[in-house]
Amino acid sequence: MPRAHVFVVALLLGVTSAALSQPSRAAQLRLQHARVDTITAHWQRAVTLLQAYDDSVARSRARLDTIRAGSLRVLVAPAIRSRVEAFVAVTAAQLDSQVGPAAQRLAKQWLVVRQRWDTTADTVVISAVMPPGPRGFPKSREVEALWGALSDSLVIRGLRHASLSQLSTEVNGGFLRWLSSDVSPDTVSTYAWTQLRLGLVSSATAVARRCYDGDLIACRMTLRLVPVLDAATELFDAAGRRRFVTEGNYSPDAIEVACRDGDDAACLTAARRLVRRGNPISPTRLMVMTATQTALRIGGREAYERLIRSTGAPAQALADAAGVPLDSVLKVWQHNLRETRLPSQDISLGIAASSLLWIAVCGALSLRSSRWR
Amino acid sequence: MTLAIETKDLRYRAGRSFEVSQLDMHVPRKSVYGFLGPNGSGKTTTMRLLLGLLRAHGGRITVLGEEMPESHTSVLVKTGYVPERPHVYPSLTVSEAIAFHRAFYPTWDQQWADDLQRQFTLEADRRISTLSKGESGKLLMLLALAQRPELLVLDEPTDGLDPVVRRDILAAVLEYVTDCEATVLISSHLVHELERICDWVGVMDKGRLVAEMPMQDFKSGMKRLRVSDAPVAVASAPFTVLSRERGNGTVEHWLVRGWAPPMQGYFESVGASLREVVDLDLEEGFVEMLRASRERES
Amino acid sequence: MFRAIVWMQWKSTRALSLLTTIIAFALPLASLQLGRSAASASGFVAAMQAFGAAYALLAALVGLLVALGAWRPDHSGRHVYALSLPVPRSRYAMFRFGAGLLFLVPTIAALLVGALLVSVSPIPEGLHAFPVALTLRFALASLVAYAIFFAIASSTNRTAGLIIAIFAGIIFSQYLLAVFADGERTVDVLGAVLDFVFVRPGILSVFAGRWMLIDA
Repeated sequence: MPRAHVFVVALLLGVTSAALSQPSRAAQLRLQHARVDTITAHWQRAVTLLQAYDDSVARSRARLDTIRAGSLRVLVAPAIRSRVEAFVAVTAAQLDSQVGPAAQRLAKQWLVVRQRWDTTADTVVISAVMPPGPRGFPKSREVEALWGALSDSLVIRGLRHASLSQLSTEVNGGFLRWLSSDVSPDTVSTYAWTQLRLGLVSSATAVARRCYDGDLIACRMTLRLVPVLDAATELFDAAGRRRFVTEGNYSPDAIEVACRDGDDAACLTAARRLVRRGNPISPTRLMVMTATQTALRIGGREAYERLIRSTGAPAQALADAAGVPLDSVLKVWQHNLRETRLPSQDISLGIAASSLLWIAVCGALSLRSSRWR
Repeated sequence: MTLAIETKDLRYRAGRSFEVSQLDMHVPRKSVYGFLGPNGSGKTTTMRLLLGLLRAHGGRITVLGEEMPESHTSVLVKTGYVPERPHVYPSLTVSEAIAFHRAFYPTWDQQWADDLQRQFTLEADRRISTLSKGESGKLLMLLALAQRPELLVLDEPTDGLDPVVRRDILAAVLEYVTDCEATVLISSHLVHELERICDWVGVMDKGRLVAEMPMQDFKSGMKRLRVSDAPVAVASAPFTVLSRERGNGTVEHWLVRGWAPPMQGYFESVGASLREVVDLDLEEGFVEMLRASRERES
Repeated sequence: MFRAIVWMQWKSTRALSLLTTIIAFALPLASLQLGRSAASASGFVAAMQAFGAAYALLAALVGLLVALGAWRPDHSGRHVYALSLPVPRSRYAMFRFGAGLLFLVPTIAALLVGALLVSVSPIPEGLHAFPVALTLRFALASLVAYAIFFAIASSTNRTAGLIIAIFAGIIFSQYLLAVFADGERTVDVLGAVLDFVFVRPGILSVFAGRWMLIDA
């Protein structure tokens, strides 16, 4: 059973039992003392359990070797140490070039590469020891990042993923909630930009389409970098509201039917109702991810460190990371959005040349068509 | 005598059972050479070897003074070929086939092609796949003749045709040969037909050329002799004994080639007596020659 | 000579040429119809992508049909007529090849016309039409397919059988390797062959990639 659950259950048990009884003041006092004792006892029991768990982890870690490379500290099973060592160095170099000085923060973190217990020695598990922090747990815990057959690509990918998870815990919580994932400095793929572009131009929200057309304020709203008080009016126009309410709605109520029939007041009511119910019109993961990575690319090697140090709202954090005003970041983001194209529409010169060459080869072969049949 | 076609020790093998071997053939220029032989004797195969449609496994082929198949382009442009089975594209019409064929032969005579088309009563817009056997035969002959070849190679051109069509086709060939002094190599198993037009004959059997001579010699020189008290060994005879068969008593029947009446004296000189000289027509002579050849082989 | 061969080959190929020309013209229009039924631009692009395979298939098919049509009359007559003509075999084959190339033109042109018609039709915002790029890829692909099938069709039965046997051997060996594979260690022969063929400068590299008339 995970340690955190043990602790919570123990705590809940103590609190619950304490709340159940209501005697006199002295008796209450005595009762409260007893309750505290009980809670403390539960606490200690939970801590003991956690301690035992940590001890077992510590004991297992004690059986592991340590590899240090760059800013990375990796615990590795001795049997596979020699194979993993080089991969760790490569990962450290990659991280150093991508996140710059922020990589130093990894020096106080641990990564673990161990063999999977139920398979051959060639199958490994890569995990990160996550520090206690804003995600609500008082103790560090090991979080599995990746597992599979031992290979350079698996280990490097796993260590990178685990390291970035660890680094992300140092970024301010508000930004992480806006991002809804770890901060990754990876380059956005052309396909992702294409999908984002398609999503914006065909979005029901008017602000998304205005953002695509170049309106920076609309982009701030699209990315929820500014507060939106009334989404139904601030994000949508009349046609967009109608589409938001009616699209995919196969059992509309009276108000939604009225909206479908052209009553904008009804659309407004229905849209606000959907927003209150939590119907997601948040920025998509692609939007926020691309915006973050744009800011990191603009900011260079120091960007990640600046992002970690930023304590402001997401808008400010992006500007801090980039080292330029937010509007400049958004302009670059817009440019990438409009200009990044999948490269394969026009046939490349290489393919055309190789095709013509093969046509000539086949033609020459057929000229040797045998006379003797 | 200059030769239009000459082969030397020509060899070809197809499968396990059929073989053309040791073929030494000589077709004189400006002659009409009849290529006789039973079905499956190798006539078609030999013609295809001569034209480079098949690759010989040994020997030498010279056609119109040029080696084959190395010079097949320059030889074929002077050669008209009528194969055993129609080879033109069945999806074409008669006029389209003529136009297609014409494109490959610089010596094509369109006027004569038109004349032949009228003579053979071939409709220009008829698709080749709808032509009868006789009409196809006529078309093939038209295509071969209109290109004004020096050499005509005709592989059983009248096979399966009615007498009227056969007559038309052979008449056209003879007319052409007379006008242009071309060489004709014509194969058939209709012996009497070749008898009328050929001046040379070659007899093929089981992939071998068993006889090759002027037609006159073949016709006049083949005799069946009834001989009594014949010697055991035939030495220094002025004719060729192809076979001997015992008859009644001391009589023997001899099949000879190259006979002439003054040769009667030979029998007196060996103490035999010649009872009778029987003329053989070409077909009888052909059959007897084949029989004798097969007996010799076995 | 070439004109005579072109005319003769046209007679044997024209019906199939007409069919592929109609299909080539209709494909872009059909893809546009399907795209318009999609709810969003992404759906529109997905519909276009669904037709990508159809273009590639048509290119291969038209190459195959024209190549087979080039040699069919000679194959049915066992090449006796062609071999009896006073033209070198290589030149004859070259004439056949050239005539077949001409018969690819109507299909390619029809595709271009259909694609151009689509490109001037209204399409969702943010998307662009690539009629010339698509037609160029189609033209090269059909030429490559034609050249391959022409070369195979011009060979003897023995050679064609050898080529087919090689392909069959690759597939069969892949099957055997899969059957006797040792768990995690597998040897992907077919994958290696496909990489060699479809990745530049592989012979079929023009068939790989995105066959998109309209894209983002």
